[in-house]
Amino acid sequence: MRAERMLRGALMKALALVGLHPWLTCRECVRLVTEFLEGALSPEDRALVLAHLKGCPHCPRYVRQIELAVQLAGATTSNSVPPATRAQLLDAFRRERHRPPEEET
Amino acid sequence: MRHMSYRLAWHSVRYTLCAGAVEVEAVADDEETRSHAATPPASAEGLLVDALRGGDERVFASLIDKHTSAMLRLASLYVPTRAVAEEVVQETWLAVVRGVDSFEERSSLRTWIFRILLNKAKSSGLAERRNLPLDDLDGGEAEGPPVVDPARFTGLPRGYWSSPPNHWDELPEERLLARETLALVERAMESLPRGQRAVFELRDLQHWTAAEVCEALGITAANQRVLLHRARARLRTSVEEYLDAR
Ligand SMILES: [Zn+2]
Repeated sequence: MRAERMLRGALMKALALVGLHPWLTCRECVRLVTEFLEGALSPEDRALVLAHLKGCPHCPRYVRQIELAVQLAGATTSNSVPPATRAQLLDAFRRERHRPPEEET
Repeated sequence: MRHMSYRLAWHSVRYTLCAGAVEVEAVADDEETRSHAATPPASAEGLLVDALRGGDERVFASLIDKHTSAMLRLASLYVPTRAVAEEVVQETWLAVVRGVDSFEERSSLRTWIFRILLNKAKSSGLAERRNLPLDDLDGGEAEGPPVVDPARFTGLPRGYWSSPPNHWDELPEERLLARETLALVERAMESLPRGQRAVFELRDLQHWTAAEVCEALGITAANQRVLLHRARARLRTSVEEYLDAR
């Protein structure tokens, strides 16, 4: 699988070098990766990124690491609310919303 | 002090990570469907708003639980102290409770809530003279320097990795989730420029759609992508530098 990818990558690179095949460099692939993941690329550019990722031994790892870094960031993030703050907010809600409409200005 | 769950959603990482470009494409498509799925259908949101207007405390409580902590983190980007950020968040919820009758449902409820939050945070930041030049949140459209050191692409032919990403993603889960690694990631997140931090929070931590983030932060789609791109790349680089140095 990996050997096949490297072979295909080497072939495409060779074709790109002699101008026979459009091919992104790794640097371009890295630059376009977010637009690719966001679905913001033109169909042509999207195909180029995909072809690069199929052939490159390194760039898929870069994409995986981006994903992993995002997962790690998620693991550090707590969405819990301090109980005191929560209680205060609920009190305010009761005061505001349970008031009959005619009392409002 | 905080009780965090230190577990990764490994099934989704594996799904993404079992590699190969075909899977990469599947991930990209999945991202798109996920973005769409993240917005509740208009009717569900309508029910939520009606419940709020009717004084349904449970609905309000669920909104508080879902958003307050992200609101605190975003407010903190604009104001000098945690205490002021808490004040801003409290005021925002009050404004939401009082203003929900006039909420016009042209945007999603959460977008509306965060717009109120950011307006309050910015004006209170100004009042505290802390609102330094409106940095990349407003001017981030420019591409800026490359996210990966160009010196790493001096392979032959030019533009190919000469110093490719190392295999730290294959480290055991215990290593990746070690307290120090997570502390490092937390510091790296905190050191992101404001705009990047805000976009990263809403997109990658709160899983909002790109459109909602643009609306809440008042930025263009292109600007949003640039900020997200830079934020993700910086985090990856920080983790790499840390784990490769071991
Ligand atoms: Zn590559």
